[in-house]
Amino acid sequence: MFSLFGQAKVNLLVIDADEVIHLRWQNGKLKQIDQYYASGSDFDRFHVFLENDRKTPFAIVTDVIEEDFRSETVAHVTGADRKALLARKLNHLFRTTRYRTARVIGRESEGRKDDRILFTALTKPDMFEPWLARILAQKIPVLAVTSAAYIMEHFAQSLSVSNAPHLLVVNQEGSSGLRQTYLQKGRVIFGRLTPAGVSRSDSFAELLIEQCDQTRKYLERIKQLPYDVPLQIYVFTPEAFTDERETVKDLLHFHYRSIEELPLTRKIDIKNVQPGAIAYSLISGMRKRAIRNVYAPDSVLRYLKLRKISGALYSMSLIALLGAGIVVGPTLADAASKWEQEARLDERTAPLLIEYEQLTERFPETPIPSAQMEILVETHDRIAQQVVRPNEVMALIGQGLAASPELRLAEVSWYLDEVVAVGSEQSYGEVIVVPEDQRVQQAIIEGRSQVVISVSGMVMSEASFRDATAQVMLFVDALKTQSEYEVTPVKLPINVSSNINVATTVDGGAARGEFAIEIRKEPLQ
Amino acid sequence: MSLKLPFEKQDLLLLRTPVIIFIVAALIASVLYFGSDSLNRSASFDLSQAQARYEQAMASVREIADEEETIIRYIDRYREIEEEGAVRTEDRLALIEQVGDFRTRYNLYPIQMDIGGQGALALKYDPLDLNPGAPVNVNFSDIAFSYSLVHEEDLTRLLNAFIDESGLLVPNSCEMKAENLAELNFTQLGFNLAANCELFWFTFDLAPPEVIYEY
Repeated sequence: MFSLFGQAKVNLLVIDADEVIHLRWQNGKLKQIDQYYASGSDFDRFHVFLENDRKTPFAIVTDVIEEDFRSETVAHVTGADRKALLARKLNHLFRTTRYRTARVIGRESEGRKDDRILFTALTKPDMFEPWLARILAQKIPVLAVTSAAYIMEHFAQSLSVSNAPHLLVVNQEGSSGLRQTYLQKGRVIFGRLTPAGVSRSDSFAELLIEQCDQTRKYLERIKQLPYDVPLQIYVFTPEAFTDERETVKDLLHFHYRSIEELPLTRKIDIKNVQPGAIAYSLISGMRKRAIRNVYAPDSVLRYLKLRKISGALYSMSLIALLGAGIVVGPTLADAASKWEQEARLDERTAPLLIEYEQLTERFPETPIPSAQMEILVETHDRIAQQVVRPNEVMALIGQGLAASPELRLAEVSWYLDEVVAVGSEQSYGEVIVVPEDQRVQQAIIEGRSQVVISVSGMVMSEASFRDATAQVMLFVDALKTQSEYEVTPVKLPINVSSNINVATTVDGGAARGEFAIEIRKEPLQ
Repeated sequence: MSLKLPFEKQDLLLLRTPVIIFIVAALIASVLYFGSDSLNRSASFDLSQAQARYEQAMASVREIADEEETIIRYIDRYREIEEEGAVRTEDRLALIEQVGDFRTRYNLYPIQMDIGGQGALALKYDPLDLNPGAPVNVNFSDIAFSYSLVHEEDLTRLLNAFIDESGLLVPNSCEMKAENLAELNFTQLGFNLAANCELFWFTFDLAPPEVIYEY
């Protein structure tokens, strides 16, 4: 079912047994445009109207006797099964009309808990189809085909009485008669129309009681209304017909309201007559955009659907363009920003290129590339730093001998030893295996060599071995004054440690013995 | 299987205009979207290129300035080293002749010389250096010599001459022994001492053969 939501302007045809009232909803007001009868001239007039305004959609409201209400219980099924079941039941109940509908109004509380379904139909389409055919011939969208009974749902809602469990809304319309619509909790269950002039009652009040009593009995008979429950009856007439607001007659509780008292009545402009409840329901429903299609099949609604599809396509087109604009805007701004950055970078690059050209032009002539030159010179100087001159060795030993002139040197030697760097950094990914006989060369190249000097000789003392040893130690102490050397006595004239053998000749002559000393120079840092 | 629509064919003509507008709008939106995306990607590429050009120019200027500074710092020292003969292949014949000159100059006893085969080690650049130079090898040969000495000055003079005049020679080891400790007499001409020395002769090779390391 389609809502009239979103329509700023709607043509409404209120069709009863005698006439067709053509209303227009526009700017929050309901105004009568025309009034037709089912005659050729009026059809022509309506046709001319349609030709002049093909944009405004139509909604049709029938207020006829030929609306059938049937309440039945069916097995509780859901989804496609329910749809198929209801379609089959509708086809069975209302074979002669396509303006029919079904809706679930409740569920049985006992037994297999069947669904209670209300089947309704407009059983005499001839009354409104000529008008509908002319509308569709002009490809004008039809928003809804509904009835006065269903319209009364909105009326009850607008008056805040829709929550009543058993409510009978009675309204008197100018030409059609007395309409009684029975609602349960705001949902229409049954409706009937008593044409004017049918009753034998003399007064409207008697007519009211008579018709409401009949309706109540019918509802009790079809088990929609319990026998002992009072029925709230709201009677709406265009003008007040009594001074009383409420009366009670057995289980019928009457509430009397006049349409002219209601707030929206002044926004309704109907020629010659006071607006009734249908007009009031229409303006109320249109304001809340709550009037829905009840009876129109898909074929009647096709232009509405086409218009909606068309609107959706226009909307999607707009959204696509706006979306593209929204997405593209920042992207283009980003691109522009990048171009700007590129231009700035180019501006900064240009002087660098000029500077590079100038540097290239004045670049000094070089026999080899700078990197090779640097590593060659650094390596050469590192190697040269590790050269040990013999003068240095001799001077050192000479200083020691000055302290112990009695020492007689037999051998002086020195060699370069590799200093193993602790925690030295290795080049990643490069494992070069250096042969054992090249380790010293590598140490020299890397600046990791130290000189080791060995001095050996003989010492003689006329006094004693103690004196001879003291002379060697004087030599050692003199060497130790040189802070960059580490001096180690390797051999003394006599070793009196208790854990080794001592062998010597004690003949009363001079004491003599050999000695050996190792001197290790601290490596270069 | 055909989809059953509640519309007749002629009714669908009512949708012609909105469909065309939708298609055109979708095309425009697509062109805008993909076009702007393409432009943006192109701009990103151009920017990265410009960034690369700028960084390249910066690096080139820095590199050439660094090279200039390096050359200015090392060129004089390099010339000295080149003059000294360390940047060329060993000239063993010249060295032997030079030793003869030293012997004559210092009036030394005959010298027994032994020059060993040449070895090589490749110098390693800083592994963090993004732009290392061409390979440089250090070649080295062992020179062993022995001779008799009248006194220790004969050794110091010869070694100093080697160090000062013959290129990059590094004494590796030396041994000086008294021939007869009990009869040492420096007042008479005659050899009293014997010396055995070993030197490393370093030279630099700026165009070394490709090295294949063994693991």
